[in-house]
Amino acid sequence: MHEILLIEDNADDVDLTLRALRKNKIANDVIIVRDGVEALDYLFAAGQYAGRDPAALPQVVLLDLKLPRLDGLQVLERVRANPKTRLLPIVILTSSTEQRDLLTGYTLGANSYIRKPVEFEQFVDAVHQLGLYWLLLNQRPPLP
Amino acid sequence: MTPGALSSTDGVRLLFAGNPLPMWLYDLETRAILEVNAAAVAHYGYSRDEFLRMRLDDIRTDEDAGRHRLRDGRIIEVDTASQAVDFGGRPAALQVVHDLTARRDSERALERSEARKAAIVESALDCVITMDAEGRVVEFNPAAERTFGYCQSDVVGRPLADLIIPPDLRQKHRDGLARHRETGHHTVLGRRLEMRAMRANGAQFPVELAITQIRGSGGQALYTGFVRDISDRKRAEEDLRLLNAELEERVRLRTTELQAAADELEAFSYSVSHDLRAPLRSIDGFSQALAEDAGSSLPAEAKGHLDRIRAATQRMAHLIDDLLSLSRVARSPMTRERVDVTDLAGRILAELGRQSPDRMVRLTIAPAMMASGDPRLLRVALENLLENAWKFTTGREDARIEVGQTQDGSAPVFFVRDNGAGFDPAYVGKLFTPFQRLHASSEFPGTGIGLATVRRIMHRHGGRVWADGQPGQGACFYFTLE
Repeated sequence: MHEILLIEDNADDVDLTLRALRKNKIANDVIIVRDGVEALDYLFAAGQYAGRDPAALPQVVLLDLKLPRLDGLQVLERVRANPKTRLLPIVILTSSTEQRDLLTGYTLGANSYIRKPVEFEQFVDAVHQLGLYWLLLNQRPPLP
Repeated sequence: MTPGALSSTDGVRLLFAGNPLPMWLYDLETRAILEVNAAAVAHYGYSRDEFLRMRLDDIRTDEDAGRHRLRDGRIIEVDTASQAVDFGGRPAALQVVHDLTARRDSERALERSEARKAAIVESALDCVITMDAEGRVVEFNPAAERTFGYCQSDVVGRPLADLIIPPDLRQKHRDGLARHRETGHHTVLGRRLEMRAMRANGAQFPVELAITQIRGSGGQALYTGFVRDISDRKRAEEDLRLLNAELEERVRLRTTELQAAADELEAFSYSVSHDLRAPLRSIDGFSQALAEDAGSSLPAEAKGHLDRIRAATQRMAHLIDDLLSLSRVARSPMTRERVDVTDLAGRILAELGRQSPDRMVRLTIAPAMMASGDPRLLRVALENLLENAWKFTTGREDARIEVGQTQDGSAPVFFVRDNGAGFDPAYVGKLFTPFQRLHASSEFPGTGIGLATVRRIMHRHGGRVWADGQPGQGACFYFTLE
């Protein structure tokens, strides 16, 4: 079972996301990285993740937009620019409903754009749908 | 010619009777007119019989022998020639009259016209300068004297080029004049020109001028230039140009400042959208987690407190969303298109109906309402108004919502009317102010931002919004878009 990569700097959001995944009985491993640079290091097996098998890509990436160092849209841009990760499923999971974030996100090649609802039950429901779709229904792109 | 007898041969009669010049014969002693010819009768208007009863002095005016009075009273100027003759033994004179009136009249008209022209040239505000084909000054009017600082008497006969044309343009002037003399070709006649001129003191200044070619009395070519000092105008133009440049610079600066403010607002809204919501998610999420994890061990009162924390979180989230929407309305770019208000209202109400299928509301939407505005902003405004109408008619058995249009002068006025809770007209001023509510949240939920948003949208269109209502009797909101 492939893991989920959660790119999120807010510890509360990390805990709540993990809780929502648990409540939905999603058992995939969750890799948590706290900023854009760490996210790219993980995906490209660089820096602190230099020993990792670069061919092993997550099933889905949950990407927050507001991140320290490199922000979410910059991460997206670099992931799409690299042939190895060009087709990696990336779901933007953010507070923002700003038009320009939506537009830039989709333009840069996000697969989905989900706004984190304030109400936790709605969030649990969103994670349920997300897991159902990206972890069960969706076929992974072939390895490059 | 010596006095002689007037014979009555045919030839003589013809010379007298048929002569085209008025003639008569008068007695030298009595000055009585003895005979007149047909030309005199025709010219003076007296019949022959009348003439023969008159004396020469009856024709002459008292003061002047060179002026004759016609039968109709008109005075003519004449030149006469007389010849003494013998008429049947009496000393008489034959007088021929040459009427000079027409020639004198035209001479006087010419004099008057010359005088008028001189007066115009003398008093003209523009410089009038005439030169001959060799470029020598012929005429230099007082305005030219004032403008250039030369006296007419000093400049007449001198080459114009050396006087009022700046040194660097003189050769060009001479060449042009020479070319015109040789080929008739010209580039300056009959056009309005602008160029530099020079005063006696050497100062150069801008002039506009027009040059026409005329013929002098001897048929020689003359060139008259009408020259106007446009220093003041040029200075005003330059001032205006500087002022415009300065204004543009100021506008540019203000625009930059405005853009900076807009960018700051944008960044602020963006930050609000992200950062203000994140803690709310934590509050709600962990309250929920606590309720779930502590579960049965929590006393009912504590559970109630958690519910209230979560309700407050939801209200705060709505506030943030509405504030963001208000700020988005203010800063989003605007277009103007034809918008089908009837269709838009129908869609919004249909959606509201789907969200609360248990509600029974009688809807009336006037047909074919069209507005000119930004489609997205108009949708936001109508959504707010119709959601309000929907909300405030909750609980009414006979709920009614009407969307219609009236006219205020030439501008269409749209309205949304309901028979819901209404409002106290004493507080109508508060309706459109952000965060002001006229109903308790427990009664009708809301953040108090919707109508502020509507007002901002109308203002952005150059229109306005107003309302009337009574408590318990419904409300009506009107708006215009121009």
